Amino acid sequence: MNYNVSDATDFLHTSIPQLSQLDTLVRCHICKDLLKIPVLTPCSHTFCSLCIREYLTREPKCPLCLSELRESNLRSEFLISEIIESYRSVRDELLESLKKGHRNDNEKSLIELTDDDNDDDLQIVGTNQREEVKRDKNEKSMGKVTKSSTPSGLNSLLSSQRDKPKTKEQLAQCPICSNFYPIQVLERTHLDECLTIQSLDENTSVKKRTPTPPSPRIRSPKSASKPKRVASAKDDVSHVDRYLSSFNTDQRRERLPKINFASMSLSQIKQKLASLGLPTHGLRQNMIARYNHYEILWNSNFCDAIEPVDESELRRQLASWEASHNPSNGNSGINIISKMMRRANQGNSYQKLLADFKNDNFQRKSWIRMFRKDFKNLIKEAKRNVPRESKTTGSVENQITAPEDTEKA
Amino acid sequence: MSRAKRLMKELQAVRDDPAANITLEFINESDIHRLKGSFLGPPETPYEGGRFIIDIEVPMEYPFKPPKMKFDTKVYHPNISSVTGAICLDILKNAWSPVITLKSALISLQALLQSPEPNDPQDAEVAQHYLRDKESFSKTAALWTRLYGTSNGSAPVEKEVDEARLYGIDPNLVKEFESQGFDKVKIVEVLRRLGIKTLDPTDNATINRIVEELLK
Repeated sequence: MNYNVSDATDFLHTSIPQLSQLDTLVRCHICKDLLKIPVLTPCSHTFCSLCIREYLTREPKCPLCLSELRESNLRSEFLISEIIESYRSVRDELLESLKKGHRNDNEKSLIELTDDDNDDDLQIVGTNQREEVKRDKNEKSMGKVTKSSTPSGLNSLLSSQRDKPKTKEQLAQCPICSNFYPIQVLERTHLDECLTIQSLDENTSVKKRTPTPPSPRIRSPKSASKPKRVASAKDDVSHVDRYLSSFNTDQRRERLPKINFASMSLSQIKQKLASLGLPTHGLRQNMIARYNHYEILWNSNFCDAIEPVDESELRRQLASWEASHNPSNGNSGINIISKMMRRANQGNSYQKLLADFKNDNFQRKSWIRMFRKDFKNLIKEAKRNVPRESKTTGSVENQITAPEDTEKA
Repeated sequence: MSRAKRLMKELQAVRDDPAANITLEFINESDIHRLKGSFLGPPETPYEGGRFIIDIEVPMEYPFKPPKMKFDTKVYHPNISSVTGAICLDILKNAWSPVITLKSALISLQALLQSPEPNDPQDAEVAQHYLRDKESFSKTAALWTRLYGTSNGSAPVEKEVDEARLYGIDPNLVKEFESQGFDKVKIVEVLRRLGIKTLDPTDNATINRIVEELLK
């Protein structure tokens, strides 16, 4: 069996083992995986939305500090979500670089802060590179352009990120006026100007621009209109921009309520499932469990995620969950029945039989003739599923008789 | 499937920490809900020097429901059944939280060996022994550790072991009743049932009670 799973301990055997602590911090305490759709509890603990919602169906308290907790108290953490997404995308590469660096460099890595006004980056260099870095700094101050020594490990990763040419795609959208500006301009001057203008506008009651969106929990249609998005990679979109786009009216949904099934009949439960496009087969308890899990998936996705997936993906996740939780559910009989009904549904004779049945004019012989082969398959399936002990008594064979026999009777 | 993924991570975490002297392995690699864990007996306790094997069954709803754990290695402890190996520990029942891992649960079992809770016992007879005579209890627990904890959890042949010593009963007391013509196995069984480890020769009431039970 393959045990190679990503884990905080991966970093222990690299040149910066302290990173394992960082890796632990961005993991969910329940699933031990990197946080997916992180949510914050009132007691300031962070979990995956799905994990904590599932836990709260059993115990209404925080798994870490055991303080009282309700689903309605959970708050989305969009910034943490983005940080983790960025980390997830670079983690493998970072790990590989650090392992390589650990193998190549026997010397300890040092972190040096450059005194350059233009570049506030940290430089991570080996001891043997310190002299060259100092020389670089002196030459930069004299106005010379020099090539620094070939960096290794993490340094190479950082420098490759830094040396990427700044293309026109490095524009970002202002969340207030929706215009595009270079990132540096936006950060240094434009945002302040825009905010000042907006506050002046509000004071004079002249609202020319769209208001800032409400808190992430209240997703009213009146919230900020969807800003024009620049056609660039997902990584280039700013945090605020993605936050605003999460108010997209196409993807907004009402949260699914918890239902008290005790007072509901089987047909009502089936109706409820059908209205959500969920399968309606199985026992009552299976259907209740199906709805409850779908409710968790739905609310986690549509209430907490910045970029929710569509309903078909949720249904696929539900099917996967059901398969893993009911590996031996005997649905083979149900499948045969549904197949034969589907096949019969396509013929006119079936429709006629059904109409006769509704008018209390049920044609038994015609019905048996139509489904003879399917009945045989069902009987075969039933006999196969009967335990061996009861087979020896022969009682089951006597009970399960072919439809032809009943017809003669 | 979050359960499988989490179990893999837990196994990895145990493997990456050999200093803890804890092991965790699947019994059968095709069945991920049955595992065997083991840990060393805590130092400066009667369990020192033993390796205790734990049978772990992970439910489908893990980590939202606790794993079922029991001792495969026979252990003489107030909170562990000396017959079935069943464990009385709150974190494996009502105090379970999905934050707890199999590794931390095994560490908790190790801590349980270090500090028994005789007022909330799993094995009443052992708990009584612990409360009545701690020194005698420690000797018996150490004997069990030597007999069962050093092998792979499999019990040695009972005939090789003096049953009286095995349950902390004074061997002279057993010999006393043996000389009166009673069967040794029955004497040990009665003394265990009555929770008597030693006896004052002048305590006639208790002697009569033992004889009555032996004559039944």
